[in-house]
Amino acid sequence: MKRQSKWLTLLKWIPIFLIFGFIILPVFMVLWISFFSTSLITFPPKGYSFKWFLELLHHQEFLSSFFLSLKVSFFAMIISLVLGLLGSFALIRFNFKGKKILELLFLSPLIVPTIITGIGIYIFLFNVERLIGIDMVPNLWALVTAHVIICIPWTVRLISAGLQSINPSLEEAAIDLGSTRIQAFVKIVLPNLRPSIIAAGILSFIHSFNNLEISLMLVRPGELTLPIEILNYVFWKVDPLIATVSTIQIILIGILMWIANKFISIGKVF
Amino acid sequence: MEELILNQVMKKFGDNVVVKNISLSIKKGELVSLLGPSGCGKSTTLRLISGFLEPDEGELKINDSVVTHTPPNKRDTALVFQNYALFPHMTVADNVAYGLKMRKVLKSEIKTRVSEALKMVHLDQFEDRYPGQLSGGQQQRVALARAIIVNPRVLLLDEPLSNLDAKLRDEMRNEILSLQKRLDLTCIFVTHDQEEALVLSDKIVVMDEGNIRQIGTPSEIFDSPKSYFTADFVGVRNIYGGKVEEGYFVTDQGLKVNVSSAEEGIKHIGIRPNMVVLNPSEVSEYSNQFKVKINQVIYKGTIIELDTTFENGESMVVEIPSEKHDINRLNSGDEVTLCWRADKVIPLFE
Amino acid sequence: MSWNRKRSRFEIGMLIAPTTILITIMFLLPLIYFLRVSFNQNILGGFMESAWTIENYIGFFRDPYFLKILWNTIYISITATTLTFVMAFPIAYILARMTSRWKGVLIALVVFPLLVGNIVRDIGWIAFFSQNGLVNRILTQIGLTDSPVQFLETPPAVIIAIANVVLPYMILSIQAVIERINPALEEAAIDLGASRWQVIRTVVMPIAMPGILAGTLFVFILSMNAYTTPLVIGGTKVQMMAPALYAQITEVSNWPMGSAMAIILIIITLLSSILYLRVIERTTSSNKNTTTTEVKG
Repeated sequence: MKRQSKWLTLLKWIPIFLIFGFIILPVFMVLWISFFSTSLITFPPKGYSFKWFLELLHHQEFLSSFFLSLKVSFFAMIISLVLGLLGSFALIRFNFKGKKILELLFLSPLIVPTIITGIGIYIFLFNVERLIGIDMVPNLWALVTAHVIICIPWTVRLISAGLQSINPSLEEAAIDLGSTRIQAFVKIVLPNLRPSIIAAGILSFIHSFNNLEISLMLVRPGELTLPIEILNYVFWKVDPLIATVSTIQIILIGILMWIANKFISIGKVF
Repeated sequence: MEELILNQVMKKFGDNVVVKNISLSIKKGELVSLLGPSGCGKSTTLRLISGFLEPDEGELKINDSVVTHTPPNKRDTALVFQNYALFPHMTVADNVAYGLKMRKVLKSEIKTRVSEALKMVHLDQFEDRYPGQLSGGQQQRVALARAIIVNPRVLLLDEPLSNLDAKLRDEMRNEILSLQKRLDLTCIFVTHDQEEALVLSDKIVVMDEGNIRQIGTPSEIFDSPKSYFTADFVGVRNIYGGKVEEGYFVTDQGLKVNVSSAEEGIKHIGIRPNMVVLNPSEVSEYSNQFKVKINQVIYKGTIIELDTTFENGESMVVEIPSEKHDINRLNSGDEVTLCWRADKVIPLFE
Repeated sequence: MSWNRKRSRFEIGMLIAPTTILITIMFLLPLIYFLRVSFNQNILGGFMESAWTIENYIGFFRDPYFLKILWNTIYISITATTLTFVMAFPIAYILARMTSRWKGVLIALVVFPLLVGNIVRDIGWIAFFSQNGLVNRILTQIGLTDSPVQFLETPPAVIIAIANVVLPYMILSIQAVIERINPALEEAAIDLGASRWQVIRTVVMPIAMPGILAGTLFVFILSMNAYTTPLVIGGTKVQMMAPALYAQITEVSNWPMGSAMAIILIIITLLSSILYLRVIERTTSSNKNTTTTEVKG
């Protein structure tokens, strides 16, 4: 703009740059450190190196916890997608008494501290264990169930939003032409819902993968999820190795986000 | 006294030149309309005048001071938006008072001026209502009051009557006219509706593809359009290309038409459908007489529209008063005589 | 759709049953269990004794140690929320009104750190704030200080780290409401003489208020419930409710106290939500149509 002096415009943009800088600062630090050559982190660094990435191969624990997290989050994603799909369909396409309460119920895990949710599940299963004598915790499926519970608010929210924008007349037209309810759902609704489902899947996967608190009481030494593995290490020290683990996670999330963005604009999710 | 001057203003978006090179001057107290089809640049011109866009070339002056780079909040213009843009979270009174508050007018003065303004638009009972509670016509009047109260040098209106139904349109038209006369406001409004322009304006600026085609009074524009575009736009439905030959205008397909003054540069001629007479008793009154075949007869209430074809294939649309002709006697396929006077032929030089 | 009612109810039931059962059994029930346990008697060195006592609650509110934790949590949450709002609003406004193709990139940039995970970001903060970290290094280099300043394990560090976590949520929720405001409203205000700042203050903020409040509430709750970040950044010196109650249960084995703390935390967040929702309701009176993108009449 010619009317404002160039300096004034620039001045207005400085706070914006600072805030954006603040947003990416921690991620930037992690990425930067993962390439430091010395084990002790100093500024400025003594040199740069890729060696920590190779060093990772010697640390079995990160690899196994990575795969555990992958497994747990994958199953949690699938299950919460199915449940979210069913639940959203009921909430959006039907009217019944108590619908609002149900909606609140499905979203409630967002309000309660995840740590409490985790403990709660542990307690429940612990007591079931005492009652029926079978080992319930720690257990892979207990872990998956816990992750499903924290993923459900996400899948319900996202799929509901997608479902709302699909015209119910489409299903009615299909049924009018002879298909059953289920056929209409599978052939008409699902394909149109694909972007929402994929976005819901990816985002709930990420949310589950990153979540530390929910898994705390449901894991056992040797079988930790990646965030917990990282946390334990961090209590000991912070060095380029752990930064490397984090960098790999950052890259992974970045790729998943990029894929998700093809199906739904990320901004609309939150 | 020139209130507003645009001097060779050009505006482009990327490579697209939306306003090509327009120069315009408007006197104090004039009601001017910018008339043209979508995309002609009239809305862009309005935004340039109000200050929301800056021209790439050219200059704007209001009351002799250059305002080309003055931001809209410092310019002495006020805009009535097409969808009114009333602040939904403020009462009618607060909406109207907004401009005065920005000018730091005293509270007591604001109160009296707001009451006056609302009385002028017949909404004095609505001070404490919210925009969401008002009808479209009422909302527009609030928008008007809000703009007028700041005593702008130039009042701008964006398609003021397009969103209203026929009856409201008449009311608002009268309202705007009376306000403008009463306050001696310089007014510019944008419209694509020629009827709106004809009724409201002192002066019409016909625009097309970023250029000004013609500036004139309503009757000048309506009765004497100068270009094909303008003629077509104001409803001259019969336009023929050709050239002047031996005192006649000969159309591309050979029709020899009598015109009142056969100048060399005429590129097209136009004849309004209602200027054509069907099978008159006194044929000699008309220097143009042609035999045509009727293709279609359309009854439109007060008029009958005939779609006809000449022997050489060219066509003509004719409008005849239905009380003078029996529709049952007119059938597709009939041969009739069409007549019109030479002075009703509109010469078009572009 | 008009269907046979009985059939519908069965269908609805089938659709919502699994989720409802899951959440009720593994989420609601445990919460009720917490409530029950919070009235139990703790046995030092042992598990606990079934009882109906309020000594845990009284103990909590009488003990300066616990009160400090509660105070920390509330004070840090409010500060972090306010700080976040101040940072979020300008970004949200600019993003909302942006039309260039960079908009998507910037939004992704805002969201991306969120998805990376708390613990990963905390590593960044440690490297940034520690005694040998970047900040201290810069400060000593430019001579502002002789010996390293203690940043970690101080409230400001925790506030900054939490604000960083919740900032994207706030930005996106405010951006969403501003985008729904017809830009013509801002133009009308400018046309009538308002400066950009006046437009934001008198037109944008009032209309966006419900969204702003909803965003701040969500961020406040997230902050109150934070676990990993206060644990890692705050350490033993700055304690917040979630890590503290977890410690009560797993380290001290005081289930009743831990449960009482959990209930207290939940009640506070529930009360804040209800209070907020009331305020939101009041700022959206029924006679105001705040999304004037349509024309009436």
